[in-house]
Amino acid sequence: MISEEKLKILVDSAKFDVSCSSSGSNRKNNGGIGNASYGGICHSFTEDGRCVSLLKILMTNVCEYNCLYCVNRRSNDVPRAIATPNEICELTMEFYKHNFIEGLFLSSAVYKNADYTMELLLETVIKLRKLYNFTGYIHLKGIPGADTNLIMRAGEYVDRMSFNLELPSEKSLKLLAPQKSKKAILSPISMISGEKQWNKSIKSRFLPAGQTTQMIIGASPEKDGHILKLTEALYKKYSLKRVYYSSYIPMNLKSNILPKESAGLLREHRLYQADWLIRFYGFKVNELISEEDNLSLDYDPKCAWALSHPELFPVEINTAPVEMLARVPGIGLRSAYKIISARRYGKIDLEGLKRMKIPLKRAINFITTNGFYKGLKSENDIKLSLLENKNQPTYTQLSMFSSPEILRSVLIGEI
Amino acid sequence: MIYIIENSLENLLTAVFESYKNKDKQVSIFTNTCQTSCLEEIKIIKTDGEKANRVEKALRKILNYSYNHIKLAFRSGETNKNTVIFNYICETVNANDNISENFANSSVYSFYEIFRKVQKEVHHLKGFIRFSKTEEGIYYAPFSPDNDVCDLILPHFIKRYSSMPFILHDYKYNKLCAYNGKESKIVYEKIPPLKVKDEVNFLFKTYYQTVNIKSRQNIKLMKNYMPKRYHINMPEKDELL
Repeated sequence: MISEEKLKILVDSAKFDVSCSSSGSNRKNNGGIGNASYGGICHSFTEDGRCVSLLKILMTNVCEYNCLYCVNRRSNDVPRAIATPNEICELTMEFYKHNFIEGLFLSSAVYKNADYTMELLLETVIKLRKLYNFTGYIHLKGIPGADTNLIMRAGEYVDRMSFNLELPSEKSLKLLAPQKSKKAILSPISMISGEKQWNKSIKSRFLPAGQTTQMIIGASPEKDGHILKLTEALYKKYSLKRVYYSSYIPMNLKSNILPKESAGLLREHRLYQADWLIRFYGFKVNELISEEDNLSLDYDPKCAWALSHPELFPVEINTAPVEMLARVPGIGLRSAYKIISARRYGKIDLEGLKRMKIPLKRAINFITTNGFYKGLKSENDIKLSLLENKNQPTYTQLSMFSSPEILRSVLIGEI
Repeated sequence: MIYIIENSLENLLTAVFESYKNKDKQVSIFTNTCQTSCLEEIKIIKTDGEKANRVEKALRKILNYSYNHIKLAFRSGETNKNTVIFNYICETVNANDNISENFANSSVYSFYEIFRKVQKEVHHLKGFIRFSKTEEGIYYAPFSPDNDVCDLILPHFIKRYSSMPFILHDYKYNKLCAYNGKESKIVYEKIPPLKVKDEVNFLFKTYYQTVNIKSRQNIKLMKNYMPKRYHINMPEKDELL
């Protein structure tokens, strides 16, 4: 079994990878150990409020590259370690049997060169599947610039793959991660997306949970509008399952290029809120924000949108289409589902909404029930009352418990 | 009016039958372990298979598949669950319609809440259960759920572990679900949870502490997602480990 010291080093450098989702795959167990749960399962939550679903670990943190924002950059003086494929496999199996995890999230620094690293990763996942008969979830981080054949072969064994976009523009990439290029990152993303399309038509099991990506925000000057435009394009063009954002944290480096301070968790939270609105609520990016702007920190993106469209409100709870109900601040998909279910049986009044435990604090200013409006009278009062307390930024984590069956039809796609 | 029943769904269904037969209004249901106020009239309802059957048949006709929600809700650990289910059933029978989604109705919504809690806990436990390997090579998981759901999570682990022997030990409802790699068995017995020493637990605690990002500390959120009552059986939360 892997030593505690090695585990610490390899996990410590892997923890900044945001993705921990184990959803989207329904791999079956055929006599081995493990299966995937389509909705994903969270096994634990760390004290930062993030979920532990997968064993998140690096093959090695010995890196050839020197990306300025990264803790593992070559010039940084940190303890280094290399794990063997067997060590990773054994640890995954033991953790899995104890029900600590849903599977493995394997990533690596670029050791020797991209191909060599990718071969190590591939060897590990093949061993895990063939020798250890592991049929649980595997998320593999792809190494940009590695041979196409290696990447495609890995796709046959794992459930999800991801190539990190790292930074929201080519210019920033050149500046902060000179050894990585936009082409080396985007070409495998595009290739995988094409391969998946083709495999879908022949019902093969290539990357059942698709691919995701991640970018760092606040290390470079791009605005939220630009980042969200990019996100929207990634969802559309490459059918990515998720785009993750990670707020830049300054790490022991004196640099004139990098900002001195973190972008903050509230900005990251706002981006996720907007991302949710795009994926599940039918919003287009240009409805929420223009390319040169940042999202408001005072109001969540839905609230900000509603406040700038007074002509569309209030909406009548008893007649509004579900798409419009979901656009009311304070009413989420779950509440919208409850409302459209309940109104099949009769008219709903304010008391009815309260009985259904629909939070009215914000919503009341945007709805009528049977024609009655009970919210604040002036637009200014509404704006003031909805202002979020700047001293206590609330941020929720990306991981959520999966929805129950009855809600699946409403909460389309994966959590 | 107070009805006293035993803790069984059949008995509860019998109570529904009796309330319609005797036209009893405003019924609260208590199990025989409960203390009751002496101001109200009390009736003890004995289980009657035939009466319960008639109610079940009528409900199945109205509710179809969602009759299972009643079975699931009955596993709830809430103290008022019998009254909540009773009211929901009466409401359904009165409406003679599947009103399971009429959330503006308070009887329906109260029922929906306890049913959802059971459903949610089944999902949570799939993640929060912790196995330790005993010297005999059996994976043993003690836990104390809010609701009586041990046998509902058993199939999940059988599918997952296929030939690995394990025991799920619910020491609150005194149920043991054992699986030997081929078949499973449910045993009802009151045994305190065993302490198992397992090195891997220690390694996982190290993992758990290392993967945390200190600059993003948010303990309140952690507790929201993983309520404290589950921590007792989690090695990553064991301060003595």
